[in-house]
Amino acid sequence: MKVRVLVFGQLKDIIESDELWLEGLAHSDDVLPLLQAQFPGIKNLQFKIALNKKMIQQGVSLHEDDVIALLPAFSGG
Amino acid sequence: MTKEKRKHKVFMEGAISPTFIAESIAKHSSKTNIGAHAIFLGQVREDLINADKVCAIEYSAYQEMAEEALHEIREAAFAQHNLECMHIYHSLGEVKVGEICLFVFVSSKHREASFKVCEELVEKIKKDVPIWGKEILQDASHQWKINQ
Repeated sequence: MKVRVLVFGQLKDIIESDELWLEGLAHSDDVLPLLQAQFPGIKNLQFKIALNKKMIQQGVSLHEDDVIALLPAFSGG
Repeated sequence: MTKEKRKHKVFMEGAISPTFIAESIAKHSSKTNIGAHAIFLGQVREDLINADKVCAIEYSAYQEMAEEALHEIREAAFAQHNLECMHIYHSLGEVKVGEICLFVFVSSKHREASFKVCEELVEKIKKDVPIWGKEILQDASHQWKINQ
């Protein structure tokens, strides 16, 4: 399973990219451990996860080409 | 009168100019059902961070999700209140200190609805819409804005 991951806010400083692709994920609960292993700096940051532009409150199955977004606290205005 | 419910362009590159705001107000003179406008303008503040001044904020957004969130916020406001018109504009990219980055413009027959909705919209935009501000300091370092 290949999913697209969009990176926003201060997470971009740590991940040093706007976007990455993750392979081998079947469930949204797998996203965080995989990212934390790759980018240990994100462990210190709180952020929410959206799947296909909707916030996820609980774990869901992932599908090919799903779009996951990593969203730190919003600070518009 | 048909109320405005279609999707609107929200994001503008750079600062929102006072001329654009003035022209937006002027365009409403033909909407004679309106008796009250409430306007909120967000301006970039020269905060002091560790003895260094903020000189600009660089805004970014998850634009597709933000536009959907704002559309839902608009629809809910129109459904719940007696409004005639509503416009929301937010900057993307760099906005310098003293410039306008958010323009919320709500119009109704009477003042109560426009005052109330204008405030609610600003709070929802700050809390529920995926937009981020990066404060650029004078020494070219940055820190990510935290909404109060």
